[in-house]
Amino acid sequence: MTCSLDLKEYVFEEGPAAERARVEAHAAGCTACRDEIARLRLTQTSLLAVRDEEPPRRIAFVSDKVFEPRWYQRVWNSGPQLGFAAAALLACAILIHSYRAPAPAPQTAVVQVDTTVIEREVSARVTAAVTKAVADSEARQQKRTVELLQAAGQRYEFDRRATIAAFSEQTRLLQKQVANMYVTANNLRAGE
Amino acid sequence: MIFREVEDRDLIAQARRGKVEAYNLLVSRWEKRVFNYVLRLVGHREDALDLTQDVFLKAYQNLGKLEDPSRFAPWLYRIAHNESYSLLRKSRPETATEYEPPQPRPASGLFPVELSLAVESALKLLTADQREAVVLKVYQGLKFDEMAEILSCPVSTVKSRLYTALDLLKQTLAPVAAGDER
Repeated sequence: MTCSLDLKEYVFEEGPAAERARVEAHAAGCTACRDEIARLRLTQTSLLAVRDEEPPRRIAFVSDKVFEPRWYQRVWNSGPQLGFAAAALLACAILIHSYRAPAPAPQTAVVQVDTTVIEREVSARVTAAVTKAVADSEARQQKRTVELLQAAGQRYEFDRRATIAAFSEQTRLLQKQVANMYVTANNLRAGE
Repeated sequence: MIFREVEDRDLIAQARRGKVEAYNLLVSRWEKRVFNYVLRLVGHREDALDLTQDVFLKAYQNLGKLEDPSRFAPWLYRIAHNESYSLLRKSRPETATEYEPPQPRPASGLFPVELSLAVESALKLLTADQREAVVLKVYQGLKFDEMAEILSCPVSTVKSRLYTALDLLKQTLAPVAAGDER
């Protein structure tokens, strides 16, 4: 009868080192456990009397193109190559994207607004602008009217003076002709 | 330049890239162990050799599915386990666990033939599960967690099978082993 230690685990060199040390320390002072360990080791040694045999023939495989993996299978099965290819592909994609992609659109914030306030503000601004435009237009019209009236007055005065001057000239010419007629008539009478 | 031993994971990586020579080197490292494991399960040399070839062919075809190359050994033994039990079920469905041990070969000077015969007879007394646990632990030198992975069962189950088998073998072989020691 042995103590409650796992001697078989110890003989098979399994288990943690601390447990093995505990078994060794115990077996040093326990004859039953020491004998049991010896019997287990003897059994183990006896079992190894049946030794491994050499295989009757050696096993070897030959390379056959039909069964050889394709190039993409080799790449797929190779971790480093596949990783490098993936990294290269990713780098190319980033480069192409950086050259071809448009500039990012400015980001706009969406703000909730009260539309009635905007409508009121717009209406006020439109009214003010219209009022100002009408006032400006009226002022421009009045100024233009005054300018036209002044121009018409000047033209009338000029025409009136020209008419008076022409009339005076015509009157003087007529007086001369009358005077000449009188002279001629007097001369005729004097000649008779 | 640094020289280091070419490890299994290097050969696995090369074999995955289609280098058959690398895979052949891997096979040469493991074929004896797999052959003897299968031989102790099926008990027939020609069957064991055919199964070993099938195991390595299947391993080559599924090498891409091996996620962790450091777990190559349990993975390979798992394939061998499945192939062996598949053959046993096909050939002898009603007595799939019956074991016919291979004829022992003349042992070296250290171990007389009588002891080899006694061990073969003692192994025959075990159930298939117990025998496989002994083969994996004693002859293949695997750890409990690796055995659990190969056999698809918890470590506690592996220990239970192995310990029961070891107690039986201890009782059976004790007189022979003691006589041999003398």
